Amino acid sequence: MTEDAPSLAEIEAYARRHGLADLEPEQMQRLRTMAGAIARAGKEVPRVASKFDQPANVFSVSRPLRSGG
Amino acid sequence: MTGSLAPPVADAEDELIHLSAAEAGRLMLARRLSPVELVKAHLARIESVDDKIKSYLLVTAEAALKKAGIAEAEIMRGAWRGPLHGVPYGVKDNYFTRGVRTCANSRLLLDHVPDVDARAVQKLDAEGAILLGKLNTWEFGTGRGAVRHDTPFPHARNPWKDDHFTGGSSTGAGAAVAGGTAMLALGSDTGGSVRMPAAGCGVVGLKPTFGRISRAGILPNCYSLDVPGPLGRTVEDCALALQAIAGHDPADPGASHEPVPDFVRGLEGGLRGLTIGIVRDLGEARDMDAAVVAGIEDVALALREAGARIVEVTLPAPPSAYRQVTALVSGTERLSIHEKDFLERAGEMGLELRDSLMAGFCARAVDYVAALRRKRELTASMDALVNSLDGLLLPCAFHAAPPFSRPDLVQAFMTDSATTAFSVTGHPALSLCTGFDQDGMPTSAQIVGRYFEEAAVFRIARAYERARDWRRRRPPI
Repeated sequence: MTEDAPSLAEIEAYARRHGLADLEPEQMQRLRTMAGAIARAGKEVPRVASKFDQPANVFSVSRPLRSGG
Repeated sequence: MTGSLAPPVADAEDELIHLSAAEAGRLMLARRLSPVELVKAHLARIESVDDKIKSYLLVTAEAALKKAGIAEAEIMRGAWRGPLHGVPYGVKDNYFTRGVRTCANSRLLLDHVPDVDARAVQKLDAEGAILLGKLNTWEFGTGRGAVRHDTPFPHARNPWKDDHFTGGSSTGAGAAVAGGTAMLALGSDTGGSVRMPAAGCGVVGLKPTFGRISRAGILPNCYSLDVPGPLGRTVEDCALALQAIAGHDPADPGASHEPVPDFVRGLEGGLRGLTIGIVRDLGEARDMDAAVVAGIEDVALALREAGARIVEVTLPAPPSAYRQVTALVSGTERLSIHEKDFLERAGEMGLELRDSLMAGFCARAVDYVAALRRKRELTASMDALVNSLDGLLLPCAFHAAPPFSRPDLVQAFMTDSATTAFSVTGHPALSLCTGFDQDGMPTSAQIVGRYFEEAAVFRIARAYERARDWRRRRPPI
């Protein structure tokens, strides 16, 4: 397990807090492993440097097309 | 067909099932081939080989024969619907099919029978194409390359060697088109899931521009990356399929309003005056099969001989940079799709799906948004490159499909590829066969084009196909 992975107690508490119950011990260990992996992956994503970067990239609207002009 | 019609030009089932969809369509229009005979030949083929290649999760034989009879009657009375009229096809089992189980190879959906067809299925139905059944897939199209053999239905197998991997996630689509159990197939591509099985099985697979085809009625895998796409034996077949299913759909908020051009008309136009960039250096150390490298060079040679100017270019970022984005985006969005089932029924999921959802469950929101911002940055730089050219030639899969007995190589087959970049950027990208390695397994290359210029991608790929007709080599099953 790497430094990015939470402890077993931490991941159990996290899972419980977010509604994930009844995981087998083996699956809880797997969740801990995946938590470490995704934390590392998150750190590796280069940040877009400027907070003034525009426009927002996840939301757009367009005028609906009207049939018959 | 019956009555005074000429006898079929191809009597043997073996010949019928190796026709291209376009060839079969032309024969049916000329009333030299019956849709009923064609469908029967494919059903017989499924009966004889699908135990080996497992391309289908469900075969709808009775409905297919009924539709074939209708198609035959329509063609006989002159009510020809188009080049796919009477052509048998399959769809990945994440496409909704009215009255036909759609389970996406998941225990969560084994009883799921939609009451509506996916928009793409509706459109093929309107063209008179004939659905043969539901094709094998990774669970919900999800996976990172590991084959765990823990889904309700076993993995599809490669028709070139049935102990070999197909590529995923549209596993059955690749196997069916190569193995002759469907003339055409529809798959879906999140990070390479159309192009990789096409590469592994030696057929043509297209991921069109993001938004070119409606996703309505297709089970989602990742909202920001999912693109439906056809697999066929020829470039023309993929062009015909795209022609039939492309176009705006108000039911898919990501569907584009871009007009749909004629994808077939320019196919034979040649390449004189076109500039195509070849990517030899992917920007990071990669172990690539010698046969794959030779295949790329062979494509470049053929394109040059067809009149194109070939220039060497580099991608703005290495493949790993794009995978950094998808690692965050796909797991997080996938969890938003499956959250309820994950919280309540995680134990019923296969390990690949569950692992991905676990990653999404633990991902930080700020990392997800950072990945989306990075996606836009990568997209802008790639678009500048693609726009400076008429097309891009680069590797698809870096290896030929490996045997299942080597899980390390199976995983490497999916991760050692250059498909993810164009899933992130949304450009159209096509995988085509470039020959065979020393073990007789297909090798592949990828052709990429500008947004909504699939016609140019087809034209380039067709120029290579015309020069090297690998389709004439058939799998030994």
